[in-house]
Amino acid sequence: MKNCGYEEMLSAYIDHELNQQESDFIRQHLEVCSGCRKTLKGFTVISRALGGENITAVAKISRRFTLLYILPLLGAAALIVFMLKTPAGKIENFMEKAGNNNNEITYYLKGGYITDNSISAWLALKSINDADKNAQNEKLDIPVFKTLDYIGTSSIFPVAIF
Amino acid sequence: MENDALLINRLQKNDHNAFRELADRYTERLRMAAGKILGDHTQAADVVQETFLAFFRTAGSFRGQSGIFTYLYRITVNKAIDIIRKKNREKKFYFLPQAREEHTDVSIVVREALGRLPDNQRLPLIMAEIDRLSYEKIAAELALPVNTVRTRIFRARKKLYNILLQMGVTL
Repeated sequence: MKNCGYEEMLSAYIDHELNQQESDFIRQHLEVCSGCRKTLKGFTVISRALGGENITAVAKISRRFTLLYILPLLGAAALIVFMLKTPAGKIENFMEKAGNNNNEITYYLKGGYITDNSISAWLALKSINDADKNAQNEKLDIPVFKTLDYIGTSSIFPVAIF
Repeated sequence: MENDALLINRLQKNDHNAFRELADRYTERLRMAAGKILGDHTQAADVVQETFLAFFRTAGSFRGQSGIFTYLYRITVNKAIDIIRKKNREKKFYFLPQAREEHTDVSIVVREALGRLPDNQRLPLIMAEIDRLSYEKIAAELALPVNTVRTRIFRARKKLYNILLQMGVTL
């Protein structure tokens, strides 16, 4: 909205609250100022809408607005798909072994059968860390970011979005 | 017609005729305002009924800092806006954005946007737009200077205009 400094007068103009001299001035100004014409049109539409008229206009849903809603949903959906693909037994088995031996984790993450389900592996390890972070870090002797190196970034992507 | 101060006095003494007189005096104006905000006359009647019930329950403690009508008007408008907000929340919960570009009823969008205005801007705007009161009468109702009313109405309009633009409505 271009600001001429006459916007408040425009608002009073549509309410017929200007005196004759002010009204004449605004009418003359509107002939030369497209910004004020646009503002007046906006105010008039609002006024008519509040007065109960049905006015149809085109609304564009912005990209930002759409992404705001869509991306978290896509992320959540992707995560659910990954989780459903992983049999529960594998995670439990993995967690049991992970709790015991650092080398086992490396094996399962690096080249073991769980590679296809690396996201589950990461989640399992994360839950161990969350449960008792300090103790487990000492026990496992690996920071989380090191673990992530073993997992393809494509697998992390949905989690990052979520 | 008996003035509001005398009516209040009778109300505080639990005079049932005073309750009826008050309802007769203001129901129609309140119902019209609620109807314009909600776009639904049945809901508007419910809102006005709730407003009177709320007022009758607390009439004893009414101090008369504003006029009765202004007080009732404020309650009615806020109740109507609450209904719009509730509808809006339900819509957001159940539906995704439908399309990248669509035809929208501006009056619905504007009514929803009313809920985002501060009370001190919303009330003068509704009085000007819906009740078609002059700035002078609004100033008298709200006990404000006329220039303050003019500025608040302008700010309310500008805010609604910006909300519409933010929502992507092409005017």
